[in-house]
Amino acid sequence: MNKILLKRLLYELLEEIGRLELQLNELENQAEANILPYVTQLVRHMEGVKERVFAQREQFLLAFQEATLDEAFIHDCINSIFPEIRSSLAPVRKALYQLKKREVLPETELYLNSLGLTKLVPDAPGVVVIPVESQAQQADLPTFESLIVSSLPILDAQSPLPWFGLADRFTEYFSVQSIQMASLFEEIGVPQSEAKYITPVLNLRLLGPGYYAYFVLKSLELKQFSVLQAVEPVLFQALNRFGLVNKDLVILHQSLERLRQSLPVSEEAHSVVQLFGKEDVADRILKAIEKVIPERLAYTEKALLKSQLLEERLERGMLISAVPMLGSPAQLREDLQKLEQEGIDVYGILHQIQETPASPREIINAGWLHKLDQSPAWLQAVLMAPQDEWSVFRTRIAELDNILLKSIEIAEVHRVLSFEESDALMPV
Amino acid sequence: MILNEIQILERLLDPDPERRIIITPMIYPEEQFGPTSVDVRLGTDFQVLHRSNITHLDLVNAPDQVARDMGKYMSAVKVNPTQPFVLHPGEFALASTLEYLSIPLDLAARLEGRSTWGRLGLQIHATAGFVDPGFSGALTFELSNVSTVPIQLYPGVRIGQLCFFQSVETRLPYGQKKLTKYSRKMSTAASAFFKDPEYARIREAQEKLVYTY
Repeated sequence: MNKILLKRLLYELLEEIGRLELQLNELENQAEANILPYVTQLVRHMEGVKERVFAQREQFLLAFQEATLDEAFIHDCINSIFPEIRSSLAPVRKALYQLKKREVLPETELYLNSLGLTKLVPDAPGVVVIPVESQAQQADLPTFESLIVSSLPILDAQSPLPWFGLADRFTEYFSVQSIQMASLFEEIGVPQSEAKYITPVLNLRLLGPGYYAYFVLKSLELKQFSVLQAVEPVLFQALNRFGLVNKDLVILHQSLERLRQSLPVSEEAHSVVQLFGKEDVADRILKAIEKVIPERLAYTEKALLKSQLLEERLERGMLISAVPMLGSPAQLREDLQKLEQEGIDVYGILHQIQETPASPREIINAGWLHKLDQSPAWLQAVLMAPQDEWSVFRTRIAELDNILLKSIEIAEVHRVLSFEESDALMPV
Repeated sequence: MILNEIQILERLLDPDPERRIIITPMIYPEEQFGPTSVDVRLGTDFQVLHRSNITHLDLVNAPDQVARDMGKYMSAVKVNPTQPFVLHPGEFALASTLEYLSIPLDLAARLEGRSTWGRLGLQIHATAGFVDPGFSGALTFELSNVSTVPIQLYPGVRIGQLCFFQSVETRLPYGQKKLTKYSRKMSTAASAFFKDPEYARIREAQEKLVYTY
């Protein structure tokens, strides 16, 4: 089962390499002649990194075929092989940060606005998104009481799937400011300063099931084992309790379970891990979070149903800005037959094929469901024949990002035209 | 045979995905459907031509270079849902449908303007209004303002209409053609004429052949 986890982690690494290459190619097409040779060198550097990854492809393919994965190998991957490769990507990321236009897309703002912080905390300060070179830079940014400052790594600027990370500052603020959250911290005996153990659960309630996968994979990538150990069981319970379970997430959970014993936990986190492991504590946390983020603001079971419908469209490469009718197409076809025979008004049927705009959360979760479902096959294909398949792999990443971005954008036009509550900021 | 509204509806609801017409988002079908057509809306992104310091696009250059030069002639403009794009008299711009479309293999489609806009001097395509069977993606508008007053264009307005025609099922769907350049595009794409193989052949011939006339 651990090989599922290894596949997911390797896919994340290759996706990062693919995105870096795509951004470098974009830069190559726009760069002025004086910096073009430098960009070309960066592209060559990326070739070298890729070669290093694919030099181990036999080992990966063998590991994926074996009945039981050598646990030492997955630890090597998490602790040394993947971090070393990532460190060789750091200079490219740095160069991109210097050379590329640093922008936060309007779609990012639409996504953040749709989360409704002002509905959770009426007098909440504004959220500002600052482009940064990497996630590690978030800590370096000065903070102000009157603003929530979220950072967006340059690599994620055009890729909505990792935008779940943008909500961290937002929910951290909420967990510190909310009186209800304060009483939860007091009740379970965790100081409110340790919000990092609670914010992922708030995030899951707010953002949806894709956040579970994002949290697990990001924690392993950043080697945040203590938080992962403490929070993941509660998050998995949350998936069940909120009706957000998905087969790929269950498999990911089971895969992590096997690794859990061997992941180190820091001394200060040990008590939290034990505390959160108690069923009644997890239950109390989830009950409290259900209260502080009510159904109308949460990502609900109904939202998951919509994301699943969108995922089906995504599989066919379609735009997913709108949710198809939730009624039965078969019934509509039957009505259409009657219409021809009985001369019924056609407008009755036309009304029923009207679509409703999808929310950014529903769109991004559809993206995650699609990625979780499809990425093992994409990974297998690129490992089997990297020479032929790498460009296909990269195209898939770019296409998925583009569809998600375009869908968020078009959904907002749809909302405006159908008088639905918009995700744009209202003028003061 | 041109499809009427019932036949279009049947195709939109067809249980067989291979025979289904896809138009999404379908925002107000009651407003969009006509007797033999479905209105389509204007998207949010535009490609506009402007003056450049390049005298011409030199096709002898490598395709990458031509693409870079093209970038100097064209710029992308994106508008938000409440912001208009203004097309001035005599100006030309590329845009795309808000909708994503997918046409089955036994249907072709034709993009036409709406008389409402025609009366204001807006043309929505210059020459390429035909949609091949098997096409998927957003359709391109070639917008021209032939009137004497600027026209404000908001995203989501219905500026075109699609008619569908029955054909015998093709074995050469648009997306599978060897030289497809615009399949599955979700946004407005500038011309990729330099990818046409003729230019590679002319380049090669220029290097090899010397004509005396």
